[in-house]
Amino acid sequence: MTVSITIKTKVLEDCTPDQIPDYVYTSNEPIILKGLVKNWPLVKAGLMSPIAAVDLLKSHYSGAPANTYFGAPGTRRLAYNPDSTKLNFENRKAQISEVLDEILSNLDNENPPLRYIASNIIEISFPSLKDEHDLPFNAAHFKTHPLELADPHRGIWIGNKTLSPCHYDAQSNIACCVVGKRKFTLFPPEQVHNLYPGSLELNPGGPAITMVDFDNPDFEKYPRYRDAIAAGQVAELEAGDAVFIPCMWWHQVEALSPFNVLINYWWNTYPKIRGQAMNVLYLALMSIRDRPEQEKQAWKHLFDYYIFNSNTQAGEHLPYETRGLLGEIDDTAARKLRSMLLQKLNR
Amino acid sequence: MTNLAPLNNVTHKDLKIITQHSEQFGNNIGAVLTFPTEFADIQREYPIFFQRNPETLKYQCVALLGITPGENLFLDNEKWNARYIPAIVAREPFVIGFEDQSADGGDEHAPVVMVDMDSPRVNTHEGQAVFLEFGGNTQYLESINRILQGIYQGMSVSDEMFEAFTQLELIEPVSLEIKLKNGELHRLTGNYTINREKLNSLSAKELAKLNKAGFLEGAFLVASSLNNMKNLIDIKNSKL
Repeated sequence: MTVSITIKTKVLEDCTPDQIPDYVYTSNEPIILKGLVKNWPLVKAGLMSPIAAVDLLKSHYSGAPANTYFGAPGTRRLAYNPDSTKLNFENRKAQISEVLDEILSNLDNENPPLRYIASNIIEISFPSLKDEHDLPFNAAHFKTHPLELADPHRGIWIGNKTLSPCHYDAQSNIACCVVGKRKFTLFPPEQVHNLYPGSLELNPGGPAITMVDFDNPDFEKYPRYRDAIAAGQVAELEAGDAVFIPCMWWHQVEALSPFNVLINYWWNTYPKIRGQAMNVLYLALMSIRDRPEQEKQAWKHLFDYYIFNSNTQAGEHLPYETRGLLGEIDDTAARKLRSMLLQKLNR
Repeated sequence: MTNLAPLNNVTHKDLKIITQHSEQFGNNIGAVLTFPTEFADIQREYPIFFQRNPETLKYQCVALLGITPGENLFLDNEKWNARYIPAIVAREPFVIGFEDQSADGGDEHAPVVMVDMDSPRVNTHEGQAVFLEFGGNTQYLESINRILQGIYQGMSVSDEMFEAFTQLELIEPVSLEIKLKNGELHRLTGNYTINREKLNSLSAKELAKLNKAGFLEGAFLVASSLNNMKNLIDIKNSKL
């Protein structure tokens, strides 16, 4: 019996790029923004034909070569070779215009070679595209949670039928399905345990990917994936739709049409000066994971007390001016911490 | 021959570098490349000249170490008698390489430190350690990083500097005739320097432009480094 995810992602109708309600940006669960970018010229071109969309893209192309995934015909899932020692595609620099031509020439091919330009920076590849294809990020939310003077990271994703295995990103995300259809399979962060993530070092795009093939799950090897299925949800997007994915939510992304384009926005409102949380995890793998159980549990208590319980608890019984790192951490304090860490790590 | 490997703290965890300078390490040479980023240090010891690269015919900067090609007058047994050792020498056996790290979100031409594993300086028992006990960077490696960065920056501004000097006609050939105390006559050719008169007669606007581009100080440093020729001849005479 095939088990499948039955929950559908919530849908918000009648959204426009400059009227995304504030609550979307802080939502604890994904939300489909139906028709958010339906008026973008590239969406309209894509609905006419892939060729029209390609022509429009080419007219904005800067000529900068882009990292491109090349997979053999029959490859759809961007993952590993059978023994997981290598990726099952190659990543090489290519001219985007040539990749576009290649995808066009294979539109009717039932078994085309996989081509995928993933997470390409729009400002570099299609600088003028931004004029008519952009989200303003001017919601009231960003007045109280400034984007740290950094624009959101704008990425464009171009390819034929591809499947990016389930992974998380350490950014909030609005992904706009511009050309073709896309399916997102989403899981909340606590499902990590049931998703069997793979290697931290070798993976397609940076974050670890699930080792479970959702289309053909091996429940003997990955029994807990059943629990993930119960907690998962599916968002099906048509051209012009977008989905908000909360930071750290796991998501599998399937591009379903012979030609697909996605434009996404990644952002963090956490000050960049305070560093990447992933660095803490790496350091903990090295310095905490294999300590004797009693020691390790003691560290868990300390992390709960200082980090996870609340951000004020550890300092609030101290006179304000003596709180130091247990009080507010401003830019100066972050700088000093970084310097101390660099020194302590350089051994 | 060179055998370059990207430096890392696993493969090269026990690497040590002999930092003495001697003929054995190829330091007995009459001139070395120098870079605008180190002119201030170089001109305290060595004359700076411009020469044309025999292959590209572009100008490059050299610091003169001797009167003849195979002679480094600052070299004394295992010691280099100067307050500053040119970056191109001090960086040995490390060089800058470039790596395409764009697939991981990095730079397309990210500079990386490479080590020449065939250099006679490289070993595991003698000299300066490159890495600390647990794989951190030693002060020595940090200093190498700074030196390589200086070379990299110096190389990237070099063409622009010569372009600015050429436009203002500041570069002139210089023929050096040196008579030693024993009567030996040496003639050094192929060198160029800054024309002091031209430099002094630049208009306020030209001076400001050269200064803004960051090359005015360099022009004066090159011009005044010529005074070090006397020092070079003195050392040569004292060794006769």
